[in-house]
Amino acid sequence: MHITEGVLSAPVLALGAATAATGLWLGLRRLEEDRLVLAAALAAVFFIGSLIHVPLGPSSVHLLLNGLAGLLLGWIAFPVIFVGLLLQALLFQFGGLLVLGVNTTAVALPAVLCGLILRPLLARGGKPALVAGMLAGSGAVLGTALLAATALALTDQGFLVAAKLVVLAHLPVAAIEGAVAVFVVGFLGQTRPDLLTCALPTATQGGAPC
Amino acid sequence: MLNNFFLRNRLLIALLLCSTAFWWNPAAHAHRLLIMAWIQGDRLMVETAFGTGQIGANMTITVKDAVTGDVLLSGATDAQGLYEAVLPTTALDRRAPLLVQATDGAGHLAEQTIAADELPSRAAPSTAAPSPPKVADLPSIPDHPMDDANQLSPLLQQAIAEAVRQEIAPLRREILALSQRGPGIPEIVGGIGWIVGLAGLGTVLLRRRTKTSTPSL
Repeated sequence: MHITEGVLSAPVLALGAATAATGLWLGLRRLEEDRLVLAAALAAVFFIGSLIHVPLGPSSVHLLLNGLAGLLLGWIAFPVIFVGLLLQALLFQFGGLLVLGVNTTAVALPAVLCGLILRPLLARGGKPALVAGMLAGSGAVLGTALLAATALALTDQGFLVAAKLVVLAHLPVAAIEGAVAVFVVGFLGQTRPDLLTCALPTATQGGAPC
Repeated sequence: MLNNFFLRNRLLIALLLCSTAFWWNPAAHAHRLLIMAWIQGDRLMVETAFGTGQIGANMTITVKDAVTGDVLLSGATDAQGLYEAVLPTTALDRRAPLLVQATDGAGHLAEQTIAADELPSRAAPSTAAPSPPKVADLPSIPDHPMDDANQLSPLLQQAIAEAVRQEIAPLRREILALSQRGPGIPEIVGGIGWIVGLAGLGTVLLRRRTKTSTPSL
């Protein structure tokens, strides 16, 4: 989801930038060396994900893959998604620098919320973990669409008009990303189950907060 | 149980991954809206398309005075991604550049500015009915020489102009899409390189922070 430069009003841009800055600060504070490689890998996945297009009627929408980042990294998803969006804006001319704060917030905040809510389910492994993956993959996309619609509604459109346009367009993406997240979680459960359990807050165990 | 599920369905997973392969098209960036606007006679013509060359149907078009920001025209593209309207007299009187914007209402915006010197003179006809475009330098036919292009009936001129416009419509969209170069391999590899570099920088900074904080413990 890339809202283009020049669409949103200044107050909406400022609110988005402030929220993104707060999220970045929280994420960077939690970023530890043992999560850095995973964060970089997910940033690369997110960066490339925008090039995977889903044909939809006369147009097409692209994958986001933000739910995975939120599920596996929690607040660290904010810097991960920020870097991905920044590079997309600079190298692909998707979105823009002025609207980067709003885009970061719209993509990262739902992902982080999904991650925080679904982490306990993820750490249980087995079918609950797959369900967590599906809910995070789909929920983060729908949350992003809703936030983008809210940003558009706050500028000049009615919420229902914007929500209809944005959310309906992203329903297929939500379904696909839910399936992708299920496969990724299943694969990680098979090969690196520690990544799923580490997603639980470990502050009480004295480890690095994930 | 989880492992067994994925081992048993390995073929299904591979098929699903393969089925998504056709979405991988680095040149396609359909979420980029493109616009092409031009003056034809006393009419403003606008065509919208997506980065893939797909038709931009039902895009909201707004024409503003580029200096003052006043809205002069508004409407929507048709199923062919076309919008045309007679330029209002206010636009001709002001002689100001026109800012033509197209949006899909979902956060995508494309705009183009038409310079003031491209606008027709105030004396040009600006009736509601479409005026025939000027056909200049028509080739003469030896058997039936025509001294003046005006001998062609306006209806015939209009039909020819319309036919040519329809014929070149796909070409216009292609040109529009080609003019917007999508991300290629260098940009993709470069972006991943930046991410690797940032991760390396983060590692250095985190280790330095760990070293400086260790003695104080």
